[in-house]
Amino acid sequence: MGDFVKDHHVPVIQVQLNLRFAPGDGLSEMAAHQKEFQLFSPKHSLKSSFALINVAPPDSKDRRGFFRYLDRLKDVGSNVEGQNGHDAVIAALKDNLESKNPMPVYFTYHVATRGNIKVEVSTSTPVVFSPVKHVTISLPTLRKD
Amino acid sequence: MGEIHSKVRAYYSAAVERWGPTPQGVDWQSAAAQYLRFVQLLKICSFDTAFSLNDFGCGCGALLDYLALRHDSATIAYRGIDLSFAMIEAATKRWAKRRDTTFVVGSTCNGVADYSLASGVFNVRLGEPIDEWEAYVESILADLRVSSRIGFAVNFKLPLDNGPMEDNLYRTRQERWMTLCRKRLGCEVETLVGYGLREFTLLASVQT
Repeated sequence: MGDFVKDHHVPVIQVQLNLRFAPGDGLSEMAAHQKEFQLFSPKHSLKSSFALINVAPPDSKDRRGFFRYLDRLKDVGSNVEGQNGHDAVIAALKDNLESKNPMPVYFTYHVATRGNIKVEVSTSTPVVFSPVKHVTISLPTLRKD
Repeated sequence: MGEIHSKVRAYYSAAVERWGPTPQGVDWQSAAAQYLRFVQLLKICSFDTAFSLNDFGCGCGALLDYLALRHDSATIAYRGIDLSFAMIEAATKRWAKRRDTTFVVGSTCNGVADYSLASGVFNVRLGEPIDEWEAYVESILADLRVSSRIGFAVNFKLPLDNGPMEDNLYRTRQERWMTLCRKRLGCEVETLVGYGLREFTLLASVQT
């Protein structure tokens, strides 16, 4: 991630995303955007959807870097059969927000290994002190060393 | 009232100076949230025929972006009004080529149109006492009424489930403002809630 966004800004994006998709007002708003604007759709890039909900680092250089990172997810795989990382994130968000009872979404990161860089989509209870089930989307990073 | 106008002007001028002509520049969280509000407010308008529109608290004219996106074929004579010189300056530059479009600095609409809209103008109270802020809200609603031939639409933040209202914000329930629009302003009123934001939109049709 450091190649795209300064390391210390990565948690900022993670917090922004997790607040946007948090149980309650955040999730209701995202479901409404999906219903009204089809915010997450194969017709739109993840970059443009995240820009519309203003998820990006505050610094403009990092902002461009984050959007490049999102585009690069097209070049990596996912644990969803037949989908690249970029499309797997869109499909997971679209399906969840359009479902009868959307779940909150938790975004996290994992360290991938070269040759096996994947987006991982799952359902889990990622907040250790909470029983609330989330759609969990883990984005790949590479360690610099 | 003049003091409130000065505070509001200073607040939004600083926001646009910091963020530029963006949703953050007019103190909205995102473009998507801003557009979701426009969807509701524009339900007062009939797009079957050409119409004129006052956009009170227009900021940098973001409503025109939305209209271009969703109602490109509609013929709308647009007039944006804002307290902030900085906002109007930015909006005038940005929309210089759009036909039938004017931007003016003002604390009232100061002109009649078929419809008037005001998005988010009641939310940021800037620490003003509630009764003074509500007097300000009333004065704006009365102005929107006399400035609208067919109807006007506004939005308000709803109260939080728990906890008091923030000093900086104004939150309210529908009843007070529905009653005012019905009884004092002589309008037929409808409110919209549950559209994904903790707020309501009040649609007021002018009785003829």
